Amino acid sequence: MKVKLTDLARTIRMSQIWRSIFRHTYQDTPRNRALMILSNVFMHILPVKVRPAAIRFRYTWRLGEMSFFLFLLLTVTGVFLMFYYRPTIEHAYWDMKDLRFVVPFGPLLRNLHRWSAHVMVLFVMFHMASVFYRSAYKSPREYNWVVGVILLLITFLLSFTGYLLPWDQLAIWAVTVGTNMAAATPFLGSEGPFSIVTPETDARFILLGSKLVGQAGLLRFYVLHCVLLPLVFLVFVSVHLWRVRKDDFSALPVLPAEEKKKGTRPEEWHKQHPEELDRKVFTWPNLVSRMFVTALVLTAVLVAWSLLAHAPLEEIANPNKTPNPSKAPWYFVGLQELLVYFDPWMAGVALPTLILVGLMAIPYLDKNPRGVGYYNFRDRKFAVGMFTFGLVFWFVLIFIGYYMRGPGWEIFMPWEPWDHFRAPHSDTLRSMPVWAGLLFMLGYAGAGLALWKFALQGFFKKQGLGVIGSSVTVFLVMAMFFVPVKIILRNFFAIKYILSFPAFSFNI
Amino acid sequence: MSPPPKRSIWNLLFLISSFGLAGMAGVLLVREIMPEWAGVQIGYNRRLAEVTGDRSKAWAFPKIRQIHLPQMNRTDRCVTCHAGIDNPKMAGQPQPFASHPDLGIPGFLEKHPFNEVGCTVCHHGQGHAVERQAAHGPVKHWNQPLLSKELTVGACATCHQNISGLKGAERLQKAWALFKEKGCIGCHNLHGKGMLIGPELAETYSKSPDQFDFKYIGAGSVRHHGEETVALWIAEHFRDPQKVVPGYPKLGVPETPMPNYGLTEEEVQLLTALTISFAMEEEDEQHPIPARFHVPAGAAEPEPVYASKVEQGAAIFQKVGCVGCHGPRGSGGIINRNMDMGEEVPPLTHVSDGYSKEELKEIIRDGRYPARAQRDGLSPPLWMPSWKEKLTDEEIDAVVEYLYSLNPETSEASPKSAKVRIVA
Repeated sequence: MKVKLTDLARTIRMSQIWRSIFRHTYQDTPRNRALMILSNVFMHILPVKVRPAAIRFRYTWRLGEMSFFLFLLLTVTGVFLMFYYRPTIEHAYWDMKDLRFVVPFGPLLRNLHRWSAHVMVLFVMFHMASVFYRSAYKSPREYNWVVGVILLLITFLLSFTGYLLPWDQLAIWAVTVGTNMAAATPFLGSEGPFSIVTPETDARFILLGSKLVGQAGLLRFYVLHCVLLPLVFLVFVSVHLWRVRKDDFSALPVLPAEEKKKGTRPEEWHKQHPEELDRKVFTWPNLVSRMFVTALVLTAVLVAWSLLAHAPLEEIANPNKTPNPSKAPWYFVGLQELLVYFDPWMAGVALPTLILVGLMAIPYLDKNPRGVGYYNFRDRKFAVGMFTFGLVFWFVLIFIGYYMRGPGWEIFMPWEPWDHFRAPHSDTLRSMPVWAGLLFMLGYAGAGLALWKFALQGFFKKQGLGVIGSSVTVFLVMAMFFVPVKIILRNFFAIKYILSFPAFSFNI
Repeated sequence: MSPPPKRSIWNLLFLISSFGLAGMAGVLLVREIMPEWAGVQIGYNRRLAEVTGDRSKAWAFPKIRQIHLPQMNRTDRCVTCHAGIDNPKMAGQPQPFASHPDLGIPGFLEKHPFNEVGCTVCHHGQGHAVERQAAHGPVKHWNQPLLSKELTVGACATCHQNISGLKGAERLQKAWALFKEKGCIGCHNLHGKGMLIGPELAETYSKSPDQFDFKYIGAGSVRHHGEETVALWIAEHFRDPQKVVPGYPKLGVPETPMPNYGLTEEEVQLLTALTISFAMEEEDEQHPIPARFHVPAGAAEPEPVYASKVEQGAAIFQKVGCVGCHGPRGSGGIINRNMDMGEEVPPLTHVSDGYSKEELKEIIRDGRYPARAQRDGLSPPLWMPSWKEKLTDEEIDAVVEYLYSLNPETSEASPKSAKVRIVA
């Protein structure tokens, strides 16, 4: 008897088992395109139809998608790594060596995990920037921006906790630099200003279970890295994606070329052409195929990178041998660079907190309705200017700290060899006397008030920003510019502290 | 409905990355199935079949072999490629297949069973690695690369606390004799004993290459690239200390005061092995040595009986390392930059002309900082340390008697010094 293959396939597809799993056929009909999304729990996070503009590469740059995909990739590689890794100081480093040399596909797993983590940190930051520049955080999406900032923080923490696990010199000293900042927390850090705790009860001790990075810290970081932080991330990222779906994509349809040339603003043009806003295409396959290809390309790039370069593994951790210089993970090196200019409580605690709070506040301060859903810099010069300054400054500090600092945290050009014996750059620094410091701070606050009164008042009024919103905006802007002001004071006027109260270890 | 956006670029990307991923998966699979070490082991199996005449041995399935020593925290996978080390039939075969020689010492192999001591405890190198370069080194971030033939003897000191009389460690014994002859201990600390003018010698080899300046070695640079090893630095430093550590005269950092003794290449290798042995004598927290492996030091040699005070003084002069700076029999010749009196550590052949015995004893007891030749120059790097904690009054007496005996005009026993100087 001759069995036709097509008959067999038909029989299988008509069987009860098949039909109980797959609810519809794959004929290319609008109904099936809709069902692909509606009848699948994972796809359901996407809308059935989207505006063509929302799936343009040059709108989102696919950064959010890629960040989430990297999270999935990191989870998968991470789980495999957990099979081979023991978080004890006796075994951790040697397990890394085994992964490198004898575990099947061990180098691939570890390299993929490491490089994906770096890329994810970078892409999350870029994703935030792209969302900012196309005003996608404005009403009604303010809260989702806040969730995004929380996700950014968790991404940093995930990467930072993972940094310790190889238990090599790179790991232990980068984490020492990071956790020493926790000891400088005001009130809750033993070395911070107004300290009310001992080294055995302060913020660093909570992180490390010890005053130094050791077995207790390794275990804590391991549990945080593998269990707690991924779970928290999952919760927030679920909210994040669900909100994107519920609030709809912000993208506005692209203007016809001749309108664009005339300088017509998309939001105005769309008021006259509301039908354009409703023009949508099916998510399956238009968006889904692009998401798939994006993930595929990203995977291919990361695998190639993992084949070409091994994840770093230096000498085994040695608490008695401090490398010179000891650098924090690259994304925190900008803050470490600020240690030259500020005490640890400022560089490691106050400024990062201000940055995060400031970022979260952006959608509630920027009430300018212009620019939602497309890249518009002309109508939001103030917002774009401030954000860009902060972003570029952040990366400039990272570049200086990572590529231009050598032994003794001295400046070395990237092409200069590090010379351990080069004479240290020494200039005698002075602190301002208290009266001058107070006067300076008052003057700086005054400058902020003047900025408000004479330059920004009309702008705030036009946006309908109240007194609280205005004052918070001015405070954040002045706080941001305080960093370069201090850098100039230190480098060109040899001022160590503007305001110094040694009795409370409170120095600015 | 308007046509969907163009998709050609996405199709292309799909194709490229799919084929790329498939290709890379292939590379990865081949690497897993046919790693470097498997090829070596197949070669070994074939040779073993040839040597033993047992054809079936050629078809053994390659696998990673290791000596796992949890007590020492070592996992030595060297035997994956060096599979014949314990097979006497493989004697005389080329590396990596040869059996381990017995060094002409009866009982050597029985006393060092490979499955108990492993490989890296003597030979160093990265035991975990199964790749040629990573295992042997030098590679970045593995600070104990495979020791060369000349230097391996330094590792004997890891377990053997007393190398004098140890068979097979003759080169280390020679090195130790040279160490004593040159009087290194007069400036250096060794295991916390000695003088503190130079660095502690037991720490040198356990440092990371990052802690050394390779700028003046070969075409090197200050940054550590992996091929720069501590042993390389030590050897070059013995050959020409001032070349390797020229200091930064412009910035007030003087060159190293370590004298250039004009060592032969053989002596350079001996002293490098000895420096390695000093580090091996220290406890290694990462790789502890089980107590049962320790071969304790024998009883200390009894203090010899001296015929005269001069003879005792001569022995002390040698033993505590005065000879290191003042030269054999106080003949001088060791450079001390910017020191008055000719930028040189004073020779001692004529001290009896300028000093009373009491004055000499005082200088030995309390030490002395030399004056500068040029007032605005750098301070001379060498100085006379205080010996009152190292030597008893009686011993200092003996040294002074010896110094008085060195004057060629009053004592015919001494050779003529080329540089006669009045020490004022």
